[in-house]
Amino acid sequence: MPPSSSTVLLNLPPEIFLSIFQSLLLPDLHAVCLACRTLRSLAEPSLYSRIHWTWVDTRPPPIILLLRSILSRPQLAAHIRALVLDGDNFGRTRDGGEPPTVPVTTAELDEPSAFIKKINVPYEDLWIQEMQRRKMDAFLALLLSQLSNLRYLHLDCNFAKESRIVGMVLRSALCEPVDRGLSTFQHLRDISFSIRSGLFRKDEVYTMADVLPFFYLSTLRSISASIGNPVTFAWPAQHAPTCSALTSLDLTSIRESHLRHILSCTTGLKKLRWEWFYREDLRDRFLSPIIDLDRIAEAISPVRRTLTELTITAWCAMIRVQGPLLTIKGSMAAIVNFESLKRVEVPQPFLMGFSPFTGYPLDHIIPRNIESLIITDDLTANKGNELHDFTVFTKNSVLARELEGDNSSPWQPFSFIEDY
Amino acid sequence: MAAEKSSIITLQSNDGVSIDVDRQVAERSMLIKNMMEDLGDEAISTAVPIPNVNESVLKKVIEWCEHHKNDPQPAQDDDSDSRKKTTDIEEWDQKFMQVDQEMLFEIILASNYLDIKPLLDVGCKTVANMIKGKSPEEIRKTFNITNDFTPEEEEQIRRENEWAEDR
Repeated sequence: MPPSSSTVLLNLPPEIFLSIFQSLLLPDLHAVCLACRTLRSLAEPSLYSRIHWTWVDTRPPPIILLLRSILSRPQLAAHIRALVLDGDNFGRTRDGGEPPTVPVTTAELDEPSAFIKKINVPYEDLWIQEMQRRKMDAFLALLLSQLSNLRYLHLDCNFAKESRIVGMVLRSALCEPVDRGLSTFQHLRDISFSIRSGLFRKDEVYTMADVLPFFYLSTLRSISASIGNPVTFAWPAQHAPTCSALTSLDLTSIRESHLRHILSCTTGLKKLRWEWFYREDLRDRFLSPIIDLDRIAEAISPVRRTLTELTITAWCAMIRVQGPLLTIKGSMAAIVNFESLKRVEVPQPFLMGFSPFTGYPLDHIIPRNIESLIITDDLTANKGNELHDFTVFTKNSVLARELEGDNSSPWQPFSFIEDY
Repeated sequence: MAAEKSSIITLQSNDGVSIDVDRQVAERSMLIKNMMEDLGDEAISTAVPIPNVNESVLKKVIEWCEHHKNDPQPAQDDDSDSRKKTTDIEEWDQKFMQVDQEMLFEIILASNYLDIKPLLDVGCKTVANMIKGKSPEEIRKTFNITNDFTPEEEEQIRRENEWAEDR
């Protein structure tokens, strides 16, 4: 038998190391990097591949340490594929609470400030000022601007609460034809930006301009975002974007008048999840207690050819308990002609009004090629009483029989409670 | 013998040893499974050469396949980039992997070549467990690695990756 040459750890091929490193935590990967040169070059990409921080108290994540490393060795920034920043509690208990500042010494600000000057953007003074005020927004903007290989970005509310500088950098990087050495995010596929059910403070309404630059990424597949409702809708560049690769969109906060502008650009959209909401304390031109179904159907109509799944959720917060709350106008009848639509999930009032006896017969409202219809009890007064949590109808059950069978009698949802 | 023809195949290690294996056991290897599907019954009558694997390693790999012959096949789309932080290994596999390092790495290489993903995973997790919680010096000692950094370089790497030590 020929003697086999001795196999040692360092003889394993790089792809095996990738699997080994997958189950190690950061401190272990750091220790591996320190073992020897070969292991360092193998482990470094894994160490930096996914930055996952949670920020829920006064102690922010070590963003200043990471910045120090990637600014002095840009190849480290190129390893970062996913940036996941969690935490959504700030400002939840009381309004007016600003996010905690990032504790940094003045000396630690020298290098990032010098770096910002080199980027040469018209707002560099503001950016540096915000950094001197220890604003997370300013540090995060600098980090993002260097992530050329980012695939996945998740920015929870605590990090996106103040996103002015981040928004400015994104606009410079994605909407202006000047190369400033900022990342152009050409590999970014999936984004979730400050996804939050409804708004917590009035000033959070104006985050739209900070999110819209992402729509200029022609390779993007999915966006989840809370987008506010500014007085006028304006794309951040000369022209509207074309997001032909975008197949999945999950939007909250934005109301139907602005939603339409966005859906006009998502020519390949397959899945849309949208949250209708109303908050009495934020009431204005866009935020009204009227569920205008005609306008909602119209807002969705740009994606009528491609949309396969439509999910609408709804909630409202009222100060007064007495008197008429929400009113419904029109109907969603236009979606009958959405040819590709297979799965629809909507609150009961969006289909049938607040009373099943005043709304449209179901078969006049639901899309022709539907396979699955889920009617939820969002916004219904006696939540949980009549329709349970939600009612599901599939093509094979009641709904199909109703559609294919006798269409003359109006559809009555309450007779099918047992079928969910 | 004719009755067994369809269920027994012969594997030949790179040191020329022929080993008869139940086809179901051998087909834990996706490489062999695909080969069987491509070549059909013809392949069964001749020994299948496994050029990268010697007899002792091949026997060890077959032992694992034998024990796991009734496991469900792993899902093909298993390459999600979510990090599998768990390094839990079932008890039998843990005992199975109590071998010297050379054999461990040979099993990893063989399962990689033969495309036996669950065995590869067990091997990689075993190595990960040997690294977990160790200092750089302990890692060097465990795997017989020479430190080729200068103290200055070491200090620089520590500083560079300081963010990863946080909390």
